Amino acid sequence: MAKYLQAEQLSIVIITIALSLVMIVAGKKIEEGQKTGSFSRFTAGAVQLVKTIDEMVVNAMGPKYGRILSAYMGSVLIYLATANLSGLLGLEAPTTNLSVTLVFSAITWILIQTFSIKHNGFKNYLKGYLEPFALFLPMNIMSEVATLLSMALRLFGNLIAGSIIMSFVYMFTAYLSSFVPVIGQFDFIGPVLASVLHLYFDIFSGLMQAYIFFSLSIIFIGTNVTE
Amino acid sequence: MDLATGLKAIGAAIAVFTGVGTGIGQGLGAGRAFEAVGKNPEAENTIRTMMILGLGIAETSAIYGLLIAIIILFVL
Repeated sequence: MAKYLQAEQLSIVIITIALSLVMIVAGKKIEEGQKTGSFSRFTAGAVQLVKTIDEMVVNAMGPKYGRILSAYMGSVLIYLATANLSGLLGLEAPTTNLSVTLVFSAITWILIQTFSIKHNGFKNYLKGYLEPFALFLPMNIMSEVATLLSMALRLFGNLIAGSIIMSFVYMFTAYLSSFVPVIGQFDFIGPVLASVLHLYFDIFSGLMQAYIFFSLSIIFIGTNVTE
Repeated sequence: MDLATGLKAIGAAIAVFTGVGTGIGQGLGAGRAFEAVGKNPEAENTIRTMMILGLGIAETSAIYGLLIAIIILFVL
C-alpha cells in the first residue's frame, strides 16, 4: 500500500459502488413492481425498510422536519451497517478510521445547529446558550463540542476495539498452536475461537453501533426542533 | 523491558478500569428493563430497543478508557 493511501479508502470506494448498485437495482425493481402490481420478497423488504426508517425519523422529529431528513438518516443507517459488517469480508472497515466517523458526526452536528437555528430563530438560538443564566455560557459551548466528539469517538472506539481484540486473539492462538509439534505452523485454534468472537464484535456490535448512531442523531435533532 | 514500558502497561491497565463503572451501570439498566418487561409484557419490543440504546450509550465511558489504553500502548 502506498504511503499516502490508507486501507480504508479502498473499502470506502468498494462499499459505495456496491451500495449504489443495490440501490439502483432496487429502485428499478420497485418501479416495475408498481406498474405490474406484484412485488418480490426483495422489493417488499426494501419498501418495508424505508417505511420503518421514515416512521422512526418522523416520530422523533415531527412531520415537518422528519420528511426532509428521513432520506439522509436512512442512508446513514444503511451505510454504517454495511461499513461495520464489511470487516467480515476481509475489507478494512471504513469506520475503523477516525476521519470517517468524525465526518459523519460533523454532518450530524451541523444538522443539529442548522435545524435549531431554523426552528428557533437565530436570536433564540444564541439565547439558548445563556440558559439557565449567563454564567452557563462556557458549559453550554462545551456540551455542544462534546456532542460532536462523543458521537465520533463512540463509533470509532467500538469498531477499533473490536478489530484490535480480534487481532490479539489471532496472535495468541497462533502462539498457542506453535507448541504443537508437527502442524504447529498452522493456526488451527484460531478459527474455532474467533468465529464466536466475530459474531459478537463484527455483527452484533457493528449493527448496534450503526443503530445507536442513527437514533442518537435523530433524537438530538428532534429535541432541538420539537421544543 | 525498561521502566518506561512497564509504567505504560500500568497506565493502560488503570485506563481500562473505567469498565468497572460501566459494568455496574449496564447491569442496573438491564435489570430495570427486565422489571419493566415483567410489569407490562406487551411493551417488550419498545423496552428492548430502548434498553439496547441506553446500554450502548452507557458503554461510551468504557470505550473511552479502552481508547486511551490503546493510545498509551501503541502511540505513546
